[in-house]
Amino acid sequence: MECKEILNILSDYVDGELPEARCLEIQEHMKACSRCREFVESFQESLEIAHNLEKKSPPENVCESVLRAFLESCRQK
Amino acid sequence: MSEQQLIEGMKSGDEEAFTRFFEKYRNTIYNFGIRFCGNPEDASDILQDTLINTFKYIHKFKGNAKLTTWLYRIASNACLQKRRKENGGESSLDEYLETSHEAESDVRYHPHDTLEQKESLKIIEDAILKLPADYRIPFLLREVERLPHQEIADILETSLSNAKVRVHRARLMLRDLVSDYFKGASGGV
Repeated sequence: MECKEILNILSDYVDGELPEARCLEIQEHMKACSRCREFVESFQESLEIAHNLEKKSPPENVCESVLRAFLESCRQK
Repeated sequence: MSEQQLIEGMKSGDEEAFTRFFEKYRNTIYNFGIRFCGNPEDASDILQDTLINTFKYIHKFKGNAKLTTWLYRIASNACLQKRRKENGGESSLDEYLETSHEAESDVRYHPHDTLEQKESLKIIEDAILKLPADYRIPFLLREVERLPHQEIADILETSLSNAKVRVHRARLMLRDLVSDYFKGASGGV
């Protein structure tokens, strides 16, 4: 497997959408190629961090004003 | 109140249905908006625009898709419209290429350090905001909202393969933006 090939199928790899044999090829390549190993690891880590971003909620005063505007627009129709 | 009752209630102008709809989806829409635009004021506008457009077009909702799929589509359009109004156009790949170097820093990512973890969250938040809008939306839908590719394709009204390509490119762009923060990162394959 060539380095550029990994780049093209990396999302399929991290999404678990590659056949096992293909995954093994990637893993074997990463054992031998430190650049690809580091690339794949940082790619995965950046996604893991994104998965852990805090879920933000609107402040109470925003909820009140947005709901008021929402209901107002509904009544006007 | 089931989803079907909620939709029927909204179609018939029932205020309780609108209020319940708001209570149920306000956090989802607000979070999506703030991850897209990066500030609470714009996220509040996106929330309001999404709700008003939901009401405006609820009579067109036929139930062929999930209500959340339809809602994300309206929220995505609200995000893009907000961006167009403020910048006079969508962010482009060129803009991404011009700004991506700004993410460079000497800070290194250490996964076991709490302070560094907080910093890494901020770095990813900021990097997401640097993605071109056409890639930021699929990235948020996949990595923050954790939706399957097919639902992303339905929201974007595109093919499954196109949705997957956009998510993949967005992931590569994000990794590129934050590469210097990762210990031992060497710039790409």
